[in-house]
Amino acid sequence: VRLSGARVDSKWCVAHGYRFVSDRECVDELTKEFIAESQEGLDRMERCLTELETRPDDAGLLGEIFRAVHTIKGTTGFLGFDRLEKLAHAGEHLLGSLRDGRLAVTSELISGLLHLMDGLRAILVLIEETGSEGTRAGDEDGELIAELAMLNGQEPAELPEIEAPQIALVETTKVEGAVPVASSAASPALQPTVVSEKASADKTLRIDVDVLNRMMNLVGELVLTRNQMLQSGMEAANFPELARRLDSVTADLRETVMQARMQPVGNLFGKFPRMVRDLARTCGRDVRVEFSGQETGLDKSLLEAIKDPLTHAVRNAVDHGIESPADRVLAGKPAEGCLRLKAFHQSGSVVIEVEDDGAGIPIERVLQKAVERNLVTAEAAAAMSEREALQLIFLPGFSTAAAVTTVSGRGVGMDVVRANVEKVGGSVEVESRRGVGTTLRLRVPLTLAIVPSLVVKSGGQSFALPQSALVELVDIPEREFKEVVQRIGSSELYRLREHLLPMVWLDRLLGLDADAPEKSKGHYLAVLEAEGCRYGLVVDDLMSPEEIVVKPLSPVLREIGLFSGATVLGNGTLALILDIGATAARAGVKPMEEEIGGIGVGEASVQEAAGTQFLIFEDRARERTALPLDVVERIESVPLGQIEYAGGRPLLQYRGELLPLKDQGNVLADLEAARQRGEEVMATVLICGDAEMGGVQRGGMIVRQVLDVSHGTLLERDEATGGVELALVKEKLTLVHREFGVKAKGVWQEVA
Amino acid sequence: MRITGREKVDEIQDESDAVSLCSLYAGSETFGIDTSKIREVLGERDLQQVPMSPTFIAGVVPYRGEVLTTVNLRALLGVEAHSGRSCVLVMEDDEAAERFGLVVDAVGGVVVVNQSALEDNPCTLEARGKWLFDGAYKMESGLMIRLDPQKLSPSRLSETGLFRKNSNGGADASIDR
Repeated sequence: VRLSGARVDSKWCVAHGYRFVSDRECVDELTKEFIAESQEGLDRMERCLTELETRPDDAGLLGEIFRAVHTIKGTTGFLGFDRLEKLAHAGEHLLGSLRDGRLAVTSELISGLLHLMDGLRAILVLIEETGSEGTRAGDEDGELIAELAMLNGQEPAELPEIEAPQIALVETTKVEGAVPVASSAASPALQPTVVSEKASADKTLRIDVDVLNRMMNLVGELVLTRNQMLQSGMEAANFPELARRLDSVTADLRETVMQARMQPVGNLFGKFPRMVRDLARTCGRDVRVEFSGQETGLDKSLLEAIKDPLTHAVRNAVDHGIESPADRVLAGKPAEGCLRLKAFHQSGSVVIEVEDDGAGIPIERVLQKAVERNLVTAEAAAAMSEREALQLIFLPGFSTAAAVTTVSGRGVGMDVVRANVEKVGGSVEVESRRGVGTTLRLRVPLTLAIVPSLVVKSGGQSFALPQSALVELVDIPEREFKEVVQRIGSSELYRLREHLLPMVWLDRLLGLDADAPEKSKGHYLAVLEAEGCRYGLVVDDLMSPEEIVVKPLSPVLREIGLFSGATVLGNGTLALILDIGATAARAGVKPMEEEIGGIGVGEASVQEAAGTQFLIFEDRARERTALPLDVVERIESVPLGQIEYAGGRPLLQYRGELLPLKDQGNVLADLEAARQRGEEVMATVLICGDAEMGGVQRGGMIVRQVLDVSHGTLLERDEATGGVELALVKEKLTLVHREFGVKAKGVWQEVA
Repeated sequence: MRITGREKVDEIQDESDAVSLCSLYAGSETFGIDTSKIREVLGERDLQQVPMSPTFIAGVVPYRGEVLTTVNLRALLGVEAHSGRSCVLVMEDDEAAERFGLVVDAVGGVVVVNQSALEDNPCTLEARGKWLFDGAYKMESGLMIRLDPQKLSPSRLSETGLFRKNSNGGADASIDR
């Protein structure tokens, strides 16, 4: 039926084999197919419905919804599910009016359609479980059909082919108050829906047919190679070649299977708009949901595992985090609260953040309550940092029932959230700022995920550092070592651009024997950042960057707490993956106190933007120029000969991309002159345009010299500045380029 | 390789209480493990050491797409590590569904012995020996100590706390050969 995807159903094979034997197996293949397809259709419809509320004029959305219902109606008639057909028919009728523009999208209408969807789902569940749609009187959908008819502005009797007008009429009189009655009618239907989603989601997985075909091809290849190997034997001349082939086939196959298992987090996020909408209405809140990072891949089993904790967290955020519209206005915030769901990779895990801009958690009441409940002593409470105090809400004794709701407004069942996430080897963190909002961060390991990482050597062993935690690498030659390393007491610090960075020696930390003879080569400092800690990890050698597959460690080794997993490297040896955050904690590196943006991006960012970091460089003579640091991806040193020209404009081929180069200070001309004199000239190019932020137009900027990275303050644009943007960086006037920065603004505004 | 008790195989094969054991060597002792508990004998492998791990962990080794934690029998016995060859066996613990590796000096062969030849641990054995050993079979060439793989799994070993890092000294008085 569908060309774009195939369904892999573990039950299918079993059912297939026994199809003729078990006549009592009431759900046949066709019906199963129909149910799965309809549920997908309804999932799509759900997404579209919530979107429709924000964009009522979108004909495409409406068309999508109409198709979903229409397909169900069409197929049911064929399969003989009358009850489902009737309900779908009523819905189609209403949607038809909507599509023809005879009705306007109102919130009542959306509610009605959502109820229709619940109704359809409930019947589908019934069919899946019992094989029939249930035609007992209690199961009739008269009430719902009447509601739909009323929304359509019709007398229910006018609706053609409706079975029992008198029932519908009686219902209409009751339904006069519209929404409350209707919602009570639909709520029992909600319960089984949850069950069915779980059931069908566990069994089936949508895989791109291309991926499946590739898998089959690879398996075929694998079999062929095996045959050849068996026939030729070890001594054959072509054995090495066969081994190589086997190797590449296996690698490809592994990758393909992995790809098939990875599901975008967006699949999970898709359920939330509806839930938030319903919750917001019951709690009297005004909430908008925003997403980012839906495409982040997560293993299917993990996705299932975090579904419940995440649902809980979202519910908490809407129910307790975001204040009522009136309170928000009083607090000087927009009446509409914002709930952000973000997913991204960080230090070998997938992080999912639930962030609200509500009232935050009042720390002193948390502490007070914790002391009252004898969870901590008063002295310990007094000595706690804010970060530590917030962790208290995860204690099982703390978050029991209503007591907490009155204390903090957050925390009901937080221990359950944590327990669930920890069950799959993850962790939960909470951050909160009074009046600004709360962020709950679920960190899930990527048991099967592929992480780009850097392999380093220390004490003769290989370790993998997740690239996401890696900020930069510093090469410290042996002869300079003494000068750049500074000491306070016994602890060593590295001065990196006027910031003191604590140094952690990996070999000493792990108790490895530092091999003395290799000392002369010097060291490398990997500047790492995780969980708010920033430190320099001293390693002996840098190996290659590799995409590694994370394998879990046994519980005994997990207990060590420093390794998040292990991986097999390209050369076949194992390397342990270092848990950057835990390593920091073990070495005693404390999180930095300064807050890094984050929560109240809305209004707060306007002020915060004033204190952004700049990369300062020199392009024109005597002038200092700066770029916001976050738009600079890399600083490359390129031989002048590699810079090519097209139509008078300089271009650079960079990693398979063609970058236009900006040369505002005529640096190239100067460099060219130097080359004429026979010198070997390297041009410094800043690669700009943040790929993560969706900035498509990347480009390079040729500069004379990179000077520094520093905090700076943007100056107000007025006549004195002459229309260009200036910033004060280290008390000096600096010109700020904006070509690349502009796009980065308003990225989070995307409403899904 | 010493293969003990081969000649006895025929005479006890038909008896119902015959058990087949895999003989293996560590230090100067001979041990036996029920063959049904052994999944695979990997032979000599490069072990990746894990810093900060308990001393009885020999390291990790890749095995069929998993990272297998291995237990060093020598370390458990309190016998010094040796630089010679070692052999990795893959154990499967049905109950806990935990797979782990056992590092021994060498693997002998399959020996079929009579269940009745099993003697209990001597009561003079100290605590660690009592945990590790599961009695001994009287063989012609000496004793073959029976090991219970379940008790050798890394998680069980760390639970008992008998084999903590700083506790050194032999579990029995055997000397390195």
